[in-house]
Parts: sequence; structure tokens; C-alpha cells
Amino acid sequence: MHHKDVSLIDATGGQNVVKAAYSSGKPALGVGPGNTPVYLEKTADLGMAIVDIITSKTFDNGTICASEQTVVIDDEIYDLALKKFAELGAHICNEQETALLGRTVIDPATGFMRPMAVGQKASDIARFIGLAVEPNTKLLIAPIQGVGPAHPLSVEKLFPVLSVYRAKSVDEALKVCVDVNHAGGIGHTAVVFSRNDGIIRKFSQVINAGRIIVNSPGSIGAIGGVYNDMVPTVSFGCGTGGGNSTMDNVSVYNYLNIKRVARRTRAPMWFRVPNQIYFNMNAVECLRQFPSRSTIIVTNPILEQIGHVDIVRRHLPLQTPVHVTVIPEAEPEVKTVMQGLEALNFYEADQIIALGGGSVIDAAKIMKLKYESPQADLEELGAPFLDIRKRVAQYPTEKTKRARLIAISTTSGTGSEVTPFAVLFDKERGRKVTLADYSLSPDVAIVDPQFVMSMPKALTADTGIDCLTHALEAGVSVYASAYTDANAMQAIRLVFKYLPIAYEHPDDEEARTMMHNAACIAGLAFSNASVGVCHALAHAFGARFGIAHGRANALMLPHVIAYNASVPAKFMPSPHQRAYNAHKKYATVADQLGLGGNTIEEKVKNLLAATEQLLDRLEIPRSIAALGISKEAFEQAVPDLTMMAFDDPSWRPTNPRMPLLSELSELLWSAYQGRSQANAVEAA
Amino acid sequence: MASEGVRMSVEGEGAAHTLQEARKTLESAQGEVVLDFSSVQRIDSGALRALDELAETASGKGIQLVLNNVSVDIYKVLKLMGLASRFSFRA
Repeated sequence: MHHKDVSLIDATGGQNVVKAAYSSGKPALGVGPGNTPVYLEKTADLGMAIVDIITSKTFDNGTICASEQTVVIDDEIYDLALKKFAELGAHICNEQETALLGRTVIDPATGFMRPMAVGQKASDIARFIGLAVEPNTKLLIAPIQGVGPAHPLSVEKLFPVLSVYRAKSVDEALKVCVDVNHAGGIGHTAVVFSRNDGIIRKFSQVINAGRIIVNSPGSIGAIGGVYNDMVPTVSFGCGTGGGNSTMDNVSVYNYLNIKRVARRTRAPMWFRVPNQIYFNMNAVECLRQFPSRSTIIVTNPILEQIGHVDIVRRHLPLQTPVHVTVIPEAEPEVKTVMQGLEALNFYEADQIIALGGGSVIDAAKIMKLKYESPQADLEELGAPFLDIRKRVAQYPTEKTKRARLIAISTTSGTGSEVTPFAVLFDKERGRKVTLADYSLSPDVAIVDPQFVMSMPKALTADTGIDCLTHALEAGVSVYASAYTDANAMQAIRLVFKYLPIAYEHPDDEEARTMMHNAACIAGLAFSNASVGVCHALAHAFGARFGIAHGRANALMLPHVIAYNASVPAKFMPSPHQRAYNAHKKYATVADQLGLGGNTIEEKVKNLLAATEQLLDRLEIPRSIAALGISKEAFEQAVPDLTMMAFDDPSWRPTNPRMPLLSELSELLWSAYQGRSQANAVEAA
Repeated sequence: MASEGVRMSVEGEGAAHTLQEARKTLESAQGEVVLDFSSVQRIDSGALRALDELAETASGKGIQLVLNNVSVDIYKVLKLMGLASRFSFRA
């Protein structure tokens, strides 16, 4: 085994040779001991089962370690089974004969079978121990009452001696089989004879064996390729329970070193958006086409006061029962969502209309999730992931109820009316919880600017910059595609052109319309390309210091643009892109906006300047410090904020730079200290 | 006052807690303590640890722990964890 030219050892045989193989220092495959339990269940084809068991147990005089050892028989067929065994050449031992066998073929000192009995014929064993049997006896059958040292014949017996046990119930039968399995046979083989699929599956679940042989002989069945399609072998891996490195039927496949040549492939991508988006003034009229037995409007108190809820009511089909549930906070908590859920259940809603900004729409998304799938665990579904397609949390697909979700946005905006994301505030832990799944996307989005005409200036500015951030982050995302870029670029153009007008001239219908569309279009982009570290940082310090989401993004945005445009300390793995190109994407944005510049660096600088100028025009504070947050308070918070931002799913794995903790801290401090006066460059 | 033949039902969803509470019962128990597992469909690591500690305490006091109506799924787990041998089982 230690020879230099030996690359792999496959050891089959006793435990000594297996141990020697594993101890040799060479890669080794070994096998484990067996103690095969058999469940002969009452629905089995009894005639076939008896023949199979005798065939198997007498194959090579019982020396195959997968052969049957203890047959647990349902009480209903026990006597008939033994009668059939006897008719086919088995000797059924009485109590004294069983005791004699137990004392002689099993070594009382060790509890193991005696080597001198291994592979001997049944008639020879009987003669040797002084047991009178018929001349052509094939098998000695010994009834036992339990498993363990008090029942010596319950161990492995590699000769034609078979133990049988009378079970009064399925539960008892399975437990005795588990006992036998664990009495020196973990990972090896087990056999079940039954025509009840439920019993077969239950047996398979509770038994720890690499081979569960169904309605066929144990030894020849486990060998494979004869009664089934298992890989043929005489080396039965027992897995770690049996002290082995494999649970396979060891074969030539285990001897092969297989190399895989993995060429770079462009992974399949997606563009998933709601299939109904109604936009422009009076788009709310489309509500007429949605019949409903019970509609709940989820909104906030201000929108109810200023008459927006009435507008929605007027456009619903006549005689639609409508109830209103109000989200009181600007950033709703989990508790608030649960209260809204009560309304949905009480009124048995089949339609939910979310009328509000991102918080209201997000709350409605989660209400719908819990309404349709009450067992959904928000904590579990909010678990972080790297790839939305391949994650541990499974969003529920089975629904006890269904409700159409129509989102009418009243800010321009979060884009939440088209996104698969929902962000809630977990007040107890002081952090935001993000849920992300395309099942959360509203069924219908209504982008009607009449609902934003009365937006106050600060809200116009904040939500407008949120929209810009979505578009810029989607634009440089590692998951950006031709589909999302088209939307991102369009949204960026619209924001730079129309947001200042909407801010300074709130009655300008065209500006409001274009901004409202921009928010939705940006939503389409980041629904599929996601966002990045700007959002992660904004979530963190926004939650801690009570800063509105859009404003938090605005405070962070210029610093993140500069950060993303610089050479990364750590590159983000990007199978969807050929190379690092965030700086080039920003330069493209600058070109789209007509900002000028001859080199990428100049264009990025111009984009930064244009962004800062936009922020100034919107009277966004220049720094976090300007909001009145003390340096001491901020300094104390930075370590926590850094970790929160690092753990935030917003940037994984889409930000073009993989952020270091130190870089996140620096970005926070940059935003605290503020942006410099930029050279003004007018956007085209 | 010492009590014999104590019988406790283990809660389905709070098995770990019940089993931890059962340790207090052992303070005054003698002979046999029966734990009814009829409601227990699943067992987690917390409950397994509590069972282990309970067995340890019972062993020290010479008390026999009997587990009633343990499902075969739970039984399998106890066997895998090497805990089954520390209890008696009844249907």
C-alpha cells in the first residue's frame, strides 16, 4: 500500500484491511460492515419475497455483506411467511435451537459472528453444532425478540442463518429495522418487501443505508445491474456513518480523475417587469378594467386628506366594495404591515391598490405576500443572497388566496410600482430588511402624474434624486445589460432635464409627467440590474439617523460616483461583462447628457460636476453634517453603519467595485464632510 | 416531597423548553420519569442537547427515563446521535 506508484487503494474485505488502507497515507476507498435489516410488510408479494430472501441469503453461502440478516415480519403474515420458508427448505428453529445457535455461531466474548461459520452451508453448521435438520436444508431461521447483546443473533451473520422478528405494528417494525441498521450496519444495505409506496418511502427515510433494495434480493440487488440499474460492484461504500469516504457502489467511476474544461460563458440574463404599465395624465382610468369583489386601498393619511383616495375610488368599476387601510409612518415597520394584513383578511380582498410612495407600495407588497401565503417567514425570506436565482430562501408558490396588486405611485420616485423589492424598517433591530423576488412585483403599475402635481419641493427633490441614483447604479451595475442600459440612460436624461423644472415649477405638467415616467423607467432598469453601494450606505445611515431614503442617496451619490469610477482595490467578479467599465459607463452618461470632455476622466469629472450642480439646484444639503448630526454621534455610529452597509444586499454582487470595509467607512466620512463646490457644467 | 412515576408531555413546538423544565422535576423524582412524545414531530439541536443533559442528570440520580410514543423519525435521530441507549422506549 505504501509503494510510490500506488495512487489509490480500493479496500474491500474486513475492517482491518480497510483501516490499513485509510492509514496508508494514500487516497483510499473502503467499505463498511453490514447488518442488513429486511422489512417484510403485509402487502408484499409473499411468495416472491420468500424466494428472493432464500436466493439472496444462500448466494455464496451468505458471505455477501449485503445479504439479509434479520427479517422483520408483520404479525399478519408472520406465520404464513415461516410456513413458506419451511416449504422451500428452511429449518425454523424452536426456542432451544435458537439459543444453541446464539451460543455457538456468535462468539459471546466479542458479540460477533465466529469466523469458522462464515461461508459454511446450513446443513454443515447444523451438523457441527448438533442441530438435527433435514438433509437439504438451505437456511436456518431463528426467531428473536429484540436487538442487542441479549439477542446475539441480531448481529451480522455471513452464513445461511437468518433471524426473524414478529412486529405488531408498522411503527414497531420500522424501529426494529432501525435498531438492526444501527447495530453494525450503518450506511450499508437494507431491504423492504412491500406494495405500499408510502411504507417504502418511510422505510427509505428512516434507514441509514447506501442501498435500499425494494422487492428484490438483498445481496444480488445491492451488487447492482441485475435487479436494478445501480452500478455493479462488490464494494459497498457505507458513507461516513460506516467510516468510509463514499456511499457509492464503488466502481471504475471512482477510479477516474475527471477534469472539466470550463469555458467562459455568457450567463443567461433576464428582463422581468410587470406586463401592465399605464402612464401619462389620467392613466388611473385604466382601473375600470379591473373587476373586484373586495378592494383594499393601502395609502398614507396625507393622500387620503388631499383627495387622492377619492380619485382612485371614482375610477374603480361601479359597486366595487372598497375599504381603505392607512400606513401611518413614512417608513413602515413590520408591525404596521401585520395590521394591514388583518384588514385584507377581514374583508377577504381580491384586489389591493397601493397608493403612495415607495414605503406604502413596499408595505402593500409584503401584505400581499403574507395574505396569499400566511406561512411565509419574512426573516427567512430576507436572508442575504448572491444570486437571486440560486438562493436558499424559497418564496412561496402555493397560495391559499390571491389578490391583484395595483401600484399607483405618488412620488417620482422609488419605482417601487414595477420592482421586485420591498424594504421594511425593523425597528427592534434598527435596520432595514430587504425582500427581493419577482413574485413581489405588482401586477399592474399606474404612473399617473396627477398624483404628483402637489408633491412638496423637498419630496420632489429627494425622490427625484432617488430616481437618478437608481438609474446611475443600474447603469454601472455588473448585471447591466442592453435592456437595462436603455432604460437607465433614458431615465438619467429625463431627470437631468426635468427634475430642476419640476422642483422650481411644480405646476409644470410636462416636467411632472416626465419625472414620473423617469422614476418608473429607472425602476425597470434596477429591477433587473439592481443597485449598489450608494443604496447600501444610504440604507444604513438613513435608518440610523432618520433621514429620508432619497435624501440619503443624494448625500452619498457624488462620492459613490467618484468611488466607482476609480480603479478598484478589489474587482467584483463579473461574468456578464468583459472588463471593468464603470468609468466608461459614466463617460457614456456624460456623452448622453452632452457634458463634453475628451477623455474618460474628463467626462467622469463633468458628470460629477453636473450631478453636484443638480443637487445644489435642488437645495440638497452638501453634507450629512449640515443636517445637524454631530461629529461625535456620527463617529460613534460609523463602525455599525459600515457593517450594516457591508451586509446590505443592495451592492451584492452588482456594484462594479467590491467594497472594502475601510472604503465604506471612508465613503461615510466623505458624505459627512460633504462635497466640494463643483465647476458648473450645464446638462444638455 | 419525593414523587414517583412522574409523567410529562413534551410540547411539539417547544420541546427544548419542556425538556429543560423536566430537569427540575428530576430533583424530587424517584424510580421512573415518563416523557410523552406524542406531540413531537420534529426535534432540533436544542431539544437534543436538553435530552442529553436530562439523561445525564437522571443517570446521576438513578432515575430511569422512559420515552413514550416516540415517532420513528425522532427515534432514528436519537439512534444517530447515540442517545437512544440512554432511554427506555414504550409505544
